[in-house]
Amino acid sequence: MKKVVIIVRALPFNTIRNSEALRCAVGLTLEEENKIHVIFIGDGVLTAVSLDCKEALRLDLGKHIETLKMMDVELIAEEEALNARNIKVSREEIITKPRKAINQAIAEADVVMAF
Amino acid sequence: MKLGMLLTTSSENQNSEIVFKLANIALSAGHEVDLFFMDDGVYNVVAKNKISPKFSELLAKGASLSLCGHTAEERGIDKEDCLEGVQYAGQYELACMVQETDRFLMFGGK
Repeated sequence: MKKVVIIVRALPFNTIRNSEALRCAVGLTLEEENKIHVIFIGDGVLTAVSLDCKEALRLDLGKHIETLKMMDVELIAEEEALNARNIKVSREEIITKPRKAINQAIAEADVVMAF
Repeated sequence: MKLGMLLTTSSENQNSEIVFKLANIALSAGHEVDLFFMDDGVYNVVAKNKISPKFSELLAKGASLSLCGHTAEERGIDKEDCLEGVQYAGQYELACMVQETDRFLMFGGK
């Protein structure tokens, strides 16, 4: 089994990058031997917040997130990045972890893909 | 050893040159190389692109080159626009590549 970490680190506004990261994560679950983790760090934590996507000029990433949860993918948002932006995760599929734990997860991964 | 690489930036980015050099060295050392192009990375294997001869060279040396058909189509790139020998693939093929390669590297933008 390979542990694959997808890192989402960019703002989710006016870009398809974060959507592509999540699409790629969904695709990676098609190989059963891959264990996928999606980690939102830095500005990427804005992806973990439910917004009025149309008003916020953001693609609706909800379906990707729901699919990933269904496929047992662990979705993690960085606590420090959330606190620094004074926001909270508003999707139940996404858990929060401190930076130290996230660093550990990245260090233990066989493959890291940063978007 | 089997080396896999994912390239998501277009040919203006220095990543293209780095991927080419790494793949070339790995092939010269007798390793297998699988490359996957996604997002703007698909532009690297458009035949008219100035960098494409380098990727042709890798194909001739035995590397396997695939691109994400979905992102290519979104950019108006058809199979006929690409280098001969480049496979139109999907995310499943990328998932298999990640699983099958001994080392997998990603080259993307910030």
